[in-house]
Amino acid sequence: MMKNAFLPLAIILLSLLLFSCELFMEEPQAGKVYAILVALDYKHLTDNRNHLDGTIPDAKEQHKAFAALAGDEKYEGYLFIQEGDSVENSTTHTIDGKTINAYPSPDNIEAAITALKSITTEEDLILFTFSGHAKGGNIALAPKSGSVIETYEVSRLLDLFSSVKGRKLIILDACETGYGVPSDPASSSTLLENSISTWYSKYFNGERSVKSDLFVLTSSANTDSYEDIFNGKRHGVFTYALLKALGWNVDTGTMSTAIPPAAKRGRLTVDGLLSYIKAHQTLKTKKSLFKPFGDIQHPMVSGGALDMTLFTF
Amino acid sequence: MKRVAFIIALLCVLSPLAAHEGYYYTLSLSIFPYLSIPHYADDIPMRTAGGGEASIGALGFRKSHYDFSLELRYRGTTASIPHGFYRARGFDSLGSDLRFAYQLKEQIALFATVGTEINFYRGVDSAFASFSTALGAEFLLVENSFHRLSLTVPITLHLRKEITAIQTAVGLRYQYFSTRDGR
Repeated sequence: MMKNAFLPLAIILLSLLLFSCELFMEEPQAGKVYAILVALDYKHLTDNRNHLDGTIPDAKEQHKAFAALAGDEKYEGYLFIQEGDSVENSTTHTIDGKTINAYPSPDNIEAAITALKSITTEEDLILFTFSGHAKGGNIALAPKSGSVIETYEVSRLLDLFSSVKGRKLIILDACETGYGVPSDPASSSTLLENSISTWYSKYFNGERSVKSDLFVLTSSANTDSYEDIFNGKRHGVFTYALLKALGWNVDTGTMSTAIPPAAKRGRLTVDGLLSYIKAHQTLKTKKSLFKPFGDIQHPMVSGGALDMTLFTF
Repeated sequence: MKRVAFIIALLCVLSPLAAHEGYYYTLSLSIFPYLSIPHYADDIPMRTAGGGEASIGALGFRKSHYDFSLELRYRGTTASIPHGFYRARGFDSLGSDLRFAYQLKEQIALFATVGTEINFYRGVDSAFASFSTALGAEFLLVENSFHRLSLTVPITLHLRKEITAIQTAVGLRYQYFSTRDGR
């Protein structure tokens, strides 16, 4: 009897080995890393309840951490900062020969993304970070003039990035940014659509899946996002954990020479970042029977069948 | 939740039937490679992962050459081998199967299953529904009046919306008959 079973088993295992495409097909080499980092402290607004102290350190330290991970020669980062009372920025960036002011107005951000379209390749990694206010899936960018907050739809931002070549990761540290995460045709977020009937209706709804090279990682799903003080320095709770995940030491302002703690088997992926942040952020991700009170903040990532590699080591 | 409660209640009501002749309880364990073939354009034709599966059945019936059972199943699938800039996410599945088997010879049976499951991507709070169907052979290893242990070799199609996956498993299936000579 065992002889009878051995032959089909051997055939199956051998055929599977032969079909393991990953072992035989050549892998592409990673290209350059481009980053647009946007941060606002909203201190140009008269209502000081809107002021944020952690956003600008968040963006500046992410900028340094990404540069260290990519290597200075392979990294191009552009900070778009609104700081203090000012509603303008004297700094400019040159992207593909175009001069773009570093004040984070919708026009300047769109100009930067549009300029990236002509210089990136499929092998490049494009990062966009936002630290500031948001509500219901709209981020609050700086005004073109005056001091009123302008909200900007995340979906519009994603549309712009969809025509930029390369892998894209959009990182949003702001309230309710989970609403800005695009819906996947085949799967549903259990944080926002926790219903069996929704999951089955997606199976039959006829919407086709495509391989996405645009991932969105947010600090929260449908709740507020918070700042806190870490060893005397103010940061977003999410970004503080993200910086640690990248191997950045916030206390010393230096990058660890070791492989980032969120990397597994020499690869730092979007899911790896999310897992590390959920496990290490100072706020809990959900209320429980034993901890029913207090603030929660549940990071979220776009759905789909694939996880995306950011850096290899 | 109402539906889940209804199914649990139904199982509780029907389980005492197992005291009758021919009814049995079952536990199945298997491991498998998992080949996912995407319906969208990917860098490679298929991605390779692995996994394991455990099924329990409180409603099994065996008569002459035929065998039917309703089983609850957990399946764990790993993330795929990384290739290029992507890898397929791993997930955990909870589902149920209807299983039918036909005894070809004393020691060999053929079986087929159809089932459905809810799958949860690991660590990313995302879920999807899918269907599964399998065909396989079952080789009797040992048996007595109350117990029966078989080696199973099923080929399973996991029908996801954006992916069709092939699993070729090797497993063990244990059956416990609550009445002597219930087989």
